[in-house]
Amino acid sequence: MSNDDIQILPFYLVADVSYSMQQDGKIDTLNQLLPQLRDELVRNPVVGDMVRFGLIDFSDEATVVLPLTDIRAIEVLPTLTVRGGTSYAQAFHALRQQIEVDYQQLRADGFTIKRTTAVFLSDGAPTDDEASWRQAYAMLTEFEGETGAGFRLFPNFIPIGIGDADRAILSDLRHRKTGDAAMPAMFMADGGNPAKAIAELIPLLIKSIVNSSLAQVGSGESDQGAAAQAMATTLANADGFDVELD
Amino acid sequence: MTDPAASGFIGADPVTFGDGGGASAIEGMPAMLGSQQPDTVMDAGVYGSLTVRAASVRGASHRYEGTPRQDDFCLAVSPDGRWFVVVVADGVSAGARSHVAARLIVRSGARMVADQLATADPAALAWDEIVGRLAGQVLLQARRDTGDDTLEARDAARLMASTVVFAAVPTVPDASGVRRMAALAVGDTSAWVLRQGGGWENLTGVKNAGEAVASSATIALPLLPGGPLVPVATDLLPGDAAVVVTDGVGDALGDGTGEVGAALAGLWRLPPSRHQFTAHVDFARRSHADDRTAVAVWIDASATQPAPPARVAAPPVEPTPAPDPGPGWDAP
Repeated sequence: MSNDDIQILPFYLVADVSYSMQQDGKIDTLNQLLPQLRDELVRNPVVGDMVRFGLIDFSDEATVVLPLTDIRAIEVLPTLTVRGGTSYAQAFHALRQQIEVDYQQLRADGFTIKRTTAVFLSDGAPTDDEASWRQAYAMLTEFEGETGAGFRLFPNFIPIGIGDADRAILSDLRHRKTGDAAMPAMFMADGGNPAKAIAELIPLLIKSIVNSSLAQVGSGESDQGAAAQAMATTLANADGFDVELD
Repeated sequence: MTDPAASGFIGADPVTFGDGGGASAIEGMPAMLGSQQPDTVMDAGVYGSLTVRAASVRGASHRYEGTPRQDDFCLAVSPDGRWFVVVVADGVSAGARSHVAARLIVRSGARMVADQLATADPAALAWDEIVGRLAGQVLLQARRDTGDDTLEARDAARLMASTVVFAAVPTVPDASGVRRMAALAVGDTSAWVLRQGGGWENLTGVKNAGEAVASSATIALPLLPGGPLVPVATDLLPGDAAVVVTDGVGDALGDGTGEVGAALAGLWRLPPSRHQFTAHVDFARRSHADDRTAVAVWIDASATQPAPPARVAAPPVEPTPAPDPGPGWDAP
C-alpha cells in the first residue's frame, strides 16, 4: 500500500574530521549532537515521526558514517574520529551520492521526501585544489528548473565555520543564497573557543531542525520556503556566531 | 481486540491507517486552557435527502505545542432551501491568530454564499466579490486586534490568514435525477467526491502532482489569488458524497488511491455515526500532525425524487469572532 502521503524530512551533518578537529576537544563535543538530537526526537514525536538524520564525515576521503535514519531506533550511535586532511570535493561527492541513494530508498518505501538540508561544518580551508571542489560543489547544488539539467535533489546547504575556517570560501558555499529558501552561513565569532562554539551550536541545530519540521507540518500551510526560513531564522539567532543571511 | 478502523469501535487506541507513527499518542493540555477554541468540534444530522457529518480536530503538532486548532468549518442552507452550503477554512500556522481568521471566514462566508444562492446558481455567483469581502473582513479583524488602522494585508497576513473552500450541494435533484454541485477553493483546502462503490475524485486540484521534491506554496486570505475565481462543478448521484477537507486530510488522501484514501473510502461508503466519523478524521498516520477538518454530505442512496425539504429559518449570524476577553484568555 502506498505511503506517498508520509513526509520525510532529511537532514545531514557533513563534518570535517581533519586532524585539527582533535584540538580543544572539538570532535568530542560534536559527538554530543547525535545523542542530544535523539533525546529531542523521542521527546517530540511530531518531529520525530518526520525527521531522518544522516552523518557524513570527511578528511582526505569522505565516509557515510550514518545513512539517513530514524535515529530514535538506534541504540548505539556512531561517533566521529579524526584522520587526515580536508577534501571538500570528497565531501560534496559523498553527499550528492548519498542523497540520491536515500531518495531511491525512501521512494522505494513509498515515502514523500522533502528537500534535504545539509549542515557543513569545517574548521579549516580545503586542502584539495579549488577547481575540483568547486566542480563537486556545482554538481551538488546546480539545478536548472526549466530544463531539468543538474541535480534535482540538490540540498539546502548551510556552511558553518569553526576555528581556522576560511570565511570567504564557506560564505560562498551557502545554497541557496537568495530567495525564500535562502540559507545562512555561520562563523564562530572572533576570539571564541571552538569547542564551546560547537557546544553552543548543538542545541541551536536541534532547535532549527524542530522548528523547520513544525513549519513543514501541513506543508500546504507552509511551503518549502517556510520550512527553510524556520531553519534559517532559528540559526540566525546564534550567540557566539556571526551569521550571514541575505 | 478487533481492528478499530474495521469495526468502528472507538476505544483508547486511535483509528490507525498503516504506519501510525508516534505522534497520535500525544495528549497535550486541553485546548481551551490556551485559547477559547476547543480541541474538537463536530456537527451532524440530515437535511432532506442529505446526510451530513462534519468534524474539525486539532492536529498532534498543536496538541504538543498547546496552541489552538486553526481549522474551522460552517454549514448553511440557502433561504429557498435549494442549496446546502459547506465552508471549510485552514488558518495558516505562521499566524498566531489564524484560528480567528478561519472562524470569521467560515461563518461569514457560509452566510454570504447561502444568501446569494437564493438568486443565482453557483456558477453565476460573484465569487471574486465574496472572497474579496471575506479578505476585507480578515484585514479589519487584524486591524482591530492590533489597534493599527493602517495595517496592510501583507502584514495582517502574518498575524492571521486562512485558506477557504466552498461547496454548494443541491438539496434536490434536477429533472434527470442528478445534482450538479459546485466547489471553489482558495489555497490548498479541497473538495472531493466519494463515488458510490467507487473511489475519490478531487474537484479542486491535487498538490505536488509530478514533482520530484514536494513543495506547496499556498494562498490565504487576506491575501488574494490572482486571476478570476471560477468554481468547478460535478454531478452527484444517489449514494455519492461530497467531501470538503483541509489539507490535514487532503494531504493524506493524496490522489485518493493511497492507504488513507482506500481506508476512508471504505469507512465512508455509507454515513458512519457522528462519533465514528470524528474518530476517523482524528486518524493516526505517520507525519500527519496538522489540524484536520472534513465535512461530508451524502446523497441518500434511496433519494430519487424526494419532496423539497421544508425551508429552515436561517440562524442569526453570530458576531465573529466573539470579542476576546483579553490576552490572558486568548493569548497567541
